[in-house]
Order: sequence, then C-alpha cells, then structure tokens
Amino acid sequence: MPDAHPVFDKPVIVVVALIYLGVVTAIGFWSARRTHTVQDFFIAGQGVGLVVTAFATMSAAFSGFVFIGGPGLTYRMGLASLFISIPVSFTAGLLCWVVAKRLRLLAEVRDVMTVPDAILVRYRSRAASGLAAIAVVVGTIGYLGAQLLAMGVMIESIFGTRAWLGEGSLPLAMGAGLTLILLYAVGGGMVAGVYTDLFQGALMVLAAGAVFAYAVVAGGGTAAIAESIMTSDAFGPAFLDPLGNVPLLTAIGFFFVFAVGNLGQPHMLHKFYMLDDPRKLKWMPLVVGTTQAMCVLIWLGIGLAVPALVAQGQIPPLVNPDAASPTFLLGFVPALLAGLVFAGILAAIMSTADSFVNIAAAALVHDLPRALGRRVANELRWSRIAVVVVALCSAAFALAYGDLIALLGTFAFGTFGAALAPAIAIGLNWQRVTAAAATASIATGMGVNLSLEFLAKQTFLTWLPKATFLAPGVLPTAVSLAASFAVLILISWLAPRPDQPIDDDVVAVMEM
Amino acid sequence: MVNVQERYAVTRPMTAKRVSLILLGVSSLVALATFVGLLSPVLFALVAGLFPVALIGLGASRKGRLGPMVWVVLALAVILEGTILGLLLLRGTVLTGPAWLGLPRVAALQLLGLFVLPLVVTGFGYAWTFQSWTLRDEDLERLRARAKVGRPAEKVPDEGDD
Repeated sequence: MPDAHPVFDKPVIVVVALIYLGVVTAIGFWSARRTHTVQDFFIAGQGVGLVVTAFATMSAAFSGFVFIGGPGLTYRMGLASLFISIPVSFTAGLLCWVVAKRLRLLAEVRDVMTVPDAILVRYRSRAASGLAAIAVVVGTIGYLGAQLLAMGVMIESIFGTRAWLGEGSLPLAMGAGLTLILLYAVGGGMVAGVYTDLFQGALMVLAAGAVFAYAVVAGGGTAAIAESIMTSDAFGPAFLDPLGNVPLLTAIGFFFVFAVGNLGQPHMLHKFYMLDDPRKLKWMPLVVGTTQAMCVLIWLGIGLAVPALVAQGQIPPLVNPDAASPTFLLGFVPALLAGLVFAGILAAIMSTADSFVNIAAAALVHDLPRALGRRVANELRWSRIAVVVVALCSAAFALAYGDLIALLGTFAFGTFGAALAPAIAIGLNWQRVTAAAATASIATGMGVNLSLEFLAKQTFLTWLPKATFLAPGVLPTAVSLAASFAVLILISWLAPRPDQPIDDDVVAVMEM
Repeated sequence: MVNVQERYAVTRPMTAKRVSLILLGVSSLVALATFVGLLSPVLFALVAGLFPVALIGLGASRKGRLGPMVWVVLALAVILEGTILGLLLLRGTVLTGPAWLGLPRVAALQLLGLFVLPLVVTGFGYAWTFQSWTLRDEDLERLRARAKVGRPAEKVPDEGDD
C-alpha cells in the first residue's frame, strides 16, 4: 500500500467513501423492515427482478480480488493473469444453460432456498446434502476471511489508520468493516444484500469504465503501453504473451478453474432462486456478462498501465504488487473518481462478504440440521445469530493467516468449485448420477483440495511430503476440480443404474 | 405448425447429451493425466477449452438433442478452441508479430477470442434460443400446474434413503 494518507491529502476521497457507507447503512436499515420470513432472509422472498438479480450475481462474484489482487497479479505475471478474469465473458451463459434454469424451476416445485437443498431434493440423500453444507461452511470461512482482510486493508488505505494505530490498525479496520457488514446482513438478510448489490454494482461498472479510460490515457494509449512494457528490462516481451510468463499448466489452469468452477459457487447459484419469474433468465447472460466484462476493464487497464508507467519512469517500481491499484488511483485519477473507485472496491468486498455470511448462516441453520434429520425451530432468529458467529470466526481465521488474502480466496473458490460443481452441474442434467456418485464427488473435491493446499503450504510438519507427483505449475484447485468430475462421471457410468427413482416433479424439471 | 423441438426431433440423432458426457469424462481424465506428467500440457490446454462447451451442450440439450443450440455450441467451440490453439502457436511472437489494436497480436487474440467474442455468442445465443428451446411458456405452465396438483409433501429423507 502507498504511504499517502488520503484522509489529509485528498479529503474528497474520504468524503465520497463516507457518503457511500452511509447509503449502504441506510439500505440495510430499510431492508430490515422488509424482512419478515426466513424466505425473505435467504432468497429475498423470491421477488426480485432481472436487473437486481443480475447485479446481485455480478456483485457477489466480484470481490476485492478483481480490483486489488487482479492488477497486482498482472503486474507480477503479465497477461497470463487475465485467464482468471476473462472467462466471465461466457460463464454467465454457462451458469444459465447448465444450472440456473433448473435451480429456479426446482424452486417452482419445491421449497428450496440453498444449494444443499437442491442436492437433497435431487439425490434424496442426507449424506450428499450434509457434505455439501460442510463444503459451503469451509469455503465460506476462507472466502469471507479473505474479504474481511481485504476490507481492513482498504479502510487502512483510505483513512491512513496505520500511521496512527500501528499494528493494531488492521484488526480495528477489519472490525469496522465487520460491524458495517453485520449491520445490514443481520438485519436485512438477502433483501439488504440484493438492494445493496444493485447500488454497488452500478457504482462498480461506472467506476471501472472510467478508470479504464484514465489508465489508457495515462499510459499514452495502448500502442505506447505495449511498447513501453516490451522494451523494459523489468517486464519484457514475455509480459504481453498470455502463455509466456508462467507455466502452461498454471495459465490454462486458471482458465479451467475460474470457468468451470463458477458452476459450484454457492454465492452465485443462490441468487437464481430469488428471481421472481424464471422467464426473466432470458437476458441474464447478456446483462451479467456485460457488467462483469465492464468490471474486468479495471483489472486490464490498471494491470497494463502501471507496468507501462513504471517502465516510462513515471512511478517507481512497486515493492508490493498489490499496491498497483491504490498507487494508480491516488496518482493518476481525479480525487472524486478515486473516491468513487475506492468506494466501489469497498462495495465489491462488502457485497461478496454479505453473500457469504448469508449462505453460511443458511448452511448452519437450515442445511446441516436438515441433513441430520432435524429442523431449527426459529430459523430467522438463529440465522441472524449464525451470521454474527460466522463473521467473527472468519475474521479470526483471516487474522491468524494475515497475509494470505489471495491464497484464501483461490482456495475457497476451488473448494466450492471442486466440491459442488459436478454434483450440481452434471447431477441436474443427467438422471443416471446416483447419490453415491454425488457424495463421492463432493468428498473427493473437498478432500483433494484441502489435502493438496495443506501439503503445499504447511511448513510446521516437516516430515510430511510435498505433492511432488504433480507436474510443475499445476494448480491444486485444478486437480481437485478434474478429480471430482472424473469420480462423478466414472461412478455413474460404471455403477448399475440407480434403483431409487428420482421424484417425478424433479425429473420434470431435469427434462425441461 | 411444427414447433422447433419437433422439427429437430425428426432430423437430429439422439447424441448431444451422450457426446457431452463422453467429452467431459475423457477431458477430466486427460486433465488428471497431464497434471501428473503422463501427457503433454498442450492436451490440457485443448480440453480446458472443450470443457465449458461440453457442459453447455449437456445443459442445453433436451431429450438428448441440441436443436437450434447446436449453432451456438459449435460457434463457442470453434472460438475457444481456435483461440487456445492460436495462443499456443503464437507463443514467443510478441516482438516479431504485427500489432492489432495497438497490442501484439497474441495479446489481442487473447482478448478478442476469450473475452469479446464469447460474450457476444453466449449472451445473444442464450436470448435467441430461450423461448423456442430453453424455456417455453407452455412447458413452464405445465410445470406450475403440476406443482399445484401433485406437490409431494416436503420431507427429510430417512436413513434408508442413503
């Protein structure tokens, strides 16, 4: 992060950020008055239209990683990093064709509110549903922790609190962000989440487009940017070769994980239940895809402009690549726009965090008890308590792992994708998939991902081997994703045809 | 008047779902083999482009057929596979190749083939085929009527269900 203190140097940034926080808080209070049932809390009463659902889906998907981590990653590894973000051009269509229609139609015939609900209805298996709920909680702790940590870093950056508070700054900044999230998540549940997402999403799209334009101009145009980077000793031609700066398995692994893994992201799948009419899915891929593509422009713009500006000598080389976005925003963008972008980044982090506390609460209060054959008496009250518990656990977890924002985020994305994508994406489209195959796939995805990440990162158990059987550059999340698909398909092919029929209404949904 | 599903039911073989599943199964195994060094990483690059297309083929098929969606799936397959193949072939040509849009052609290819074109094809392809193939009004009404009449009691499966 840069040493500048916008609270003194550029007060407009702070004013804009504070106005934003005020608007979000107001939406939370307004929404709390409209949340009366558990359906309101989890799926906004299934009464949300196309635009709000689309923006909520986009906002939930895009976190601080896109705006802070993305340009930082590009600074470090060049255009190979774009393999993470550019699949958004078709993942909305992928989601709609493969899962969105069927999840939404399931909600027409059954009382489903969550991903484990859909798995329970499809497979009639408490084991599969319970494992899915555990995967949701595990992934959420990591993902939410990463969001809270990123939010703390952002608040530090905007208010310059580290200069006053030293090491205590980050926990306090995270605490401030956590309080704000809880204000509207506890009170308003998903009603608050989706309407906040609409406001936040619009802000993110506008800000990303404007910043992209400023980035291209600051670098002297695309040709000058490319020329500066190619002729620079620090970056060189390989920077602009999508397959040139990292192993092929890493670059394409990003593409594979972030394209296919989307099908298992509960914070996105959850949103499709909210749509008031399934026919409104018609324009969903175009609206979600276009808005996501607009937001990716900030990654692309800053990711290319900052290395070019370094190469041109306009800014010194970055010690920490994650400082790319703040450095550019504080130095090359008008203060009002910088304030909007900082607010937009906070918006992205908060909307993702809000989605996660919500689905984790659903997993703890609704899905896991149901998998155990029980029901919680007052789901709404316990959901609000669960939101607080999950948020606090995630913050503690993130603080304990302090500097691993990107690691936590990638790990969580991989956990969701590997554990849930095959059981949902294949299972809702192929009647031959059995409960045993789904359970094995979920267990494989979660187990392989956790094991490989643990072996790769742990340093305290020196006698444990590293995963040396993997080729150089392989992403653990790609291995777990491919393994869970292979397990589900092979078991379904090789096992005898299922003797337990799927319920007629679920078959009707699967055949539509 | 023959609706679009009946027309394609007569003229197309029942293979789309099976082909998609075979592609997904084989692609998963090829990916795993490349991850442990048994196969070339280039093969993983090619199956990574096929994987989302096969998933769309699986999700969009009805009674095993793709109907008008076949054009969308084919277009996306050509774009993704063609782009990945192009990126593989153009590796290391940043300095020698001519510039497109001010960028080296390999960088422009990445943005055009994996970012711009798939957005157009999937976004408009989905909307174009939605009412005739993906979700017809009469199918939705039938499902809703069925839900009103024959909705099974919500229950938590007993232990025997597992």
